[in-house]
Amino acid sequence: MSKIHLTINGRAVEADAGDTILAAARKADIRIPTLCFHPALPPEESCRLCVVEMVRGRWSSLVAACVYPAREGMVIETDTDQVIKARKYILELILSDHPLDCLTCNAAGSCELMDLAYEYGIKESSLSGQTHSYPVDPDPNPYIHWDLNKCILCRRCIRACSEMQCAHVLTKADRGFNQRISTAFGNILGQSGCELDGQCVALCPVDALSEKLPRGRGRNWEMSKTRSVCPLCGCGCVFDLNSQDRELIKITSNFSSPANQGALCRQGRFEYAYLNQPDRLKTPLLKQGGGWTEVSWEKALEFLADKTKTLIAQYGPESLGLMLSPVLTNEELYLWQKFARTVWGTPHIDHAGSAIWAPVQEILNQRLGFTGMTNSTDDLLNSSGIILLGSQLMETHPIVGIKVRQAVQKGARLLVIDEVPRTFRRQAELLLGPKPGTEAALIQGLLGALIQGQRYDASFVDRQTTGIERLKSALADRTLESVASETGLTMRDLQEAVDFVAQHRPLSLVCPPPLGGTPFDRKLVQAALNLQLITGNLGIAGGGLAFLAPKANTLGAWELGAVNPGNPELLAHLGTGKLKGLFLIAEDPAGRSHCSPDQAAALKASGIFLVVQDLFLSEAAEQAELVLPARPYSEKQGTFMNVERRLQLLKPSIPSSPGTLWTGDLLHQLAAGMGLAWPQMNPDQTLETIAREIPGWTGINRTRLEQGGLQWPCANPDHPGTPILYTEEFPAGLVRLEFT
Amino acid sequence: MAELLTRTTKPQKPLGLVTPFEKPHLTVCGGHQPELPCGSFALYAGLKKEAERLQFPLQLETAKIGCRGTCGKGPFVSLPRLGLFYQQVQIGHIPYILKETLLQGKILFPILRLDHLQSVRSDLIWEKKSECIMTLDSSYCMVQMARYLIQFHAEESCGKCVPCRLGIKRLGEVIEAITQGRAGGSALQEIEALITLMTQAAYCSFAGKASKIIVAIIHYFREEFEAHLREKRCPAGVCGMM
Repeated sequence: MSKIHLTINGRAVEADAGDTILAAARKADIRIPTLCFHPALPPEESCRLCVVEMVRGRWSSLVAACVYPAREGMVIETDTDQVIKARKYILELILSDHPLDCLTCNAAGSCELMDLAYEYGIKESSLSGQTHSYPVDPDPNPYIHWDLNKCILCRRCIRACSEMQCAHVLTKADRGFNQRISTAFGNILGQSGCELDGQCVALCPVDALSEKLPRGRGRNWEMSKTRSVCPLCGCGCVFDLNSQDRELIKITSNFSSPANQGALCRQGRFEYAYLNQPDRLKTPLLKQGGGWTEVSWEKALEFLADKTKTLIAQYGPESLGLMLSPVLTNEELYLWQKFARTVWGTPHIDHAGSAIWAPVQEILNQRLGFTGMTNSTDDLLNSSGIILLGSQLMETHPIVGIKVRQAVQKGARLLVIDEVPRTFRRQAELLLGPKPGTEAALIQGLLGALIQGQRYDASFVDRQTTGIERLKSALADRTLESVASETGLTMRDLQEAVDFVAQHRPLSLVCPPPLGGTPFDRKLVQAALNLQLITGNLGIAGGGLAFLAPKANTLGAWELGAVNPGNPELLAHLGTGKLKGLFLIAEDPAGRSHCSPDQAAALKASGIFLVVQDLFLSEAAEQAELVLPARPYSEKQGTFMNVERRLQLLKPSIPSSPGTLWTGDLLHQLAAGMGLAWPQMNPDQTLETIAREIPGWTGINRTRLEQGGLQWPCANPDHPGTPILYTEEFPAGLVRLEFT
Repeated sequence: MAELLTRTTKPQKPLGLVTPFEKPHLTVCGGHQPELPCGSFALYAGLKKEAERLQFPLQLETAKIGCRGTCGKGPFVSLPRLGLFYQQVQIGHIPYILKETLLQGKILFPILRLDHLQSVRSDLIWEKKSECIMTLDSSYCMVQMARYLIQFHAEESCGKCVPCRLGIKRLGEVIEAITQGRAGGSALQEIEALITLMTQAAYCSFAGKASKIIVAIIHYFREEFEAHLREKRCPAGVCGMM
């Protein structure tokens, strides 16, 4: 990029061509105050606070630095009398219609208007006149508090709603002095299509839009902010945990995150109350005589060591099972599985929901070499076409869904394949509703039509794959007519879909996990992979195959061996009586969604020795002999691997609760109780061990993760991570085009 | 002749206007400013001379104007009793104005000023480009005119940027305070500061353009503002603040 040179405050400043004055000044560490400007949003230039003086010979004018392009030879002054006077007066104008109840204002401490007034020494406005008096908190939603009296009409919320979340709920109503932020027709949020993701709240510089839950529960300057990772789905959103003492007060956006760029969903931003619940487990509980007895960790681990020793002696090591959770950190997963394999010697290791992801994991690993999304989430913005297999994306992976919407807003075309599309109706160019279970047949039909019409990327197929002739003959009888009768779609729809696939390149394919915990369809995975292979959409920016791992650390669990590869479904063993002891770690298969009711019943009926580690006394814990208190994500350090293979660092926001134990210490003591040696490792040491032992993790270390995150695989400490897989070739060699 | 004149100045039903009889028959812009290039001074003299020749008891006055002679539409002749303006009036129009409009009540449409784009008031000429302002006669308070014009613009503001949305609003409120005698002694400085900000820092040129006419009014009629501010007196007797 070519450089330009300008003078700001008499200093020579170098900037990139295309920079605004503000960007150029920030590169040179020259402060220009802003209010409506936010780096995550397109500029609006409505507050005019960033005005600077542009000197042209003997005259000068004020221009808005946030939008005015910097040019070669420009002379800019940022703090002349004229500029300061204008800024002060703008602040006075804003304050003349802004209630000065800073003493009780919830935004105090994070209020940008307050900071600017402090910077410019404005105590109160010299102007007076009519002020607004809107009703406070008129909206009955449970999360977002409205106080339009404090609104300064910077329109960040509108931009956040329409440009970041692409929800288009908020808009401006009326004009002039009466302008206000509103939904369409002034409806309440619940009736205007609002998803309550609170992005408007995150961007409001004052207290006009704010979180309802933490109101009155803490002052901003008393909270400590910790960057962490959301554990609720596989998107791996980075956010800031705001905590005070032992309480998590609120969750705020972190705009420096590469995975989500500050966007969060409703659950991620607002559903954290469980962390503060008083009924969380505080000490180990031992079942004695039908009731629970609080015991110390020493005693609990002693009991546990004795019991496991007895079980191993009596029934052999394979009688022990370990059920982990895909929302444990990589470090915990690694330690547990290694402990189970080496100390106990059991292969019966699994994590909840492993069956959902197993088809994708196996097929992708076997045919391509790596698992997870082939490209980054952010790379969807480079796509010219997107195929979405299942519109539940907004429920399972909201941030990927938002990226799809952003891509459509940017010009990508969207093909949605779902029997009854719940969302993306507005964004879709083409909606296909095949009968349930025939999605794979539909994709195979598209494949057949593309091959028969010679509309595939022959050079990519020749270079990177084998078996095209076999695929051709296998698909020879797959005419669009047969697909139409099988899927219940019209010929015209199918023909349009074929054209869609053929015409768009790069084309990406997004497939969220099915709802209800059913596994991915093996045939669909194969067919989708074939489609992306013959259209040459792997290894290029904007292309790729995005099967979305269901849980926060599903990919990590698979990569770090929290499964038994030959025989993954651990809970299926319950009925056979082979398992005599089962450890459920931070996962309640009975109470939550990862286990069928049959399995829950089996757990109850099996009568095996059950140990549960969880936050609460869950349904499964009720069946257990021993319950151990777990540490939530907000209290521990570790890493998660998200859907796009990005490893990100969690840091404890709250000092770990007394009565909980770090897994490394727990295992060390447990091993000692069994009379064995097991190193006592902290999270950092564990990560180092993982990096040493597992090839794709070699370049990963704590220091690098602190800087944002790395996309696995990362082969050495200088490797920048892999945002796009298979750009050169496939690690498994030529990819066989298989047809199943 | 005199009878005719009295007869024709009865209320003009077709126009639906009630013309106060005490108002002058005609006012001419720039009647006392011989330096203006548009010829309004000559027109004033010509009207006076022609009326004398025809023995009209013509009540001819100079209008209340703020003018630089650059409006391009002048000279203007206003008919306060009809509430109309004639524009680009030439010496040759004089006999027709006197005979047809004043005596017969006919409107000379070719020179009638029709400018619906400016504001909703027809008793005011306000040339956006040249910042010329003219009222029908001298009974208008120019502070009220300023208040009217800025409030007119306040409703036009889109509301995007702070200098326009709140600047115009506060400007209107300061001027309103002047008309009501509530304004402090620094009101004019406040207006000036607001207008400077609106001109220099706004998103588009609307706020600057809208405030230009206020600048013009203050420039031409500063003494009226001062009278309101210092003496709490409205020279035109319009503002009921005392």
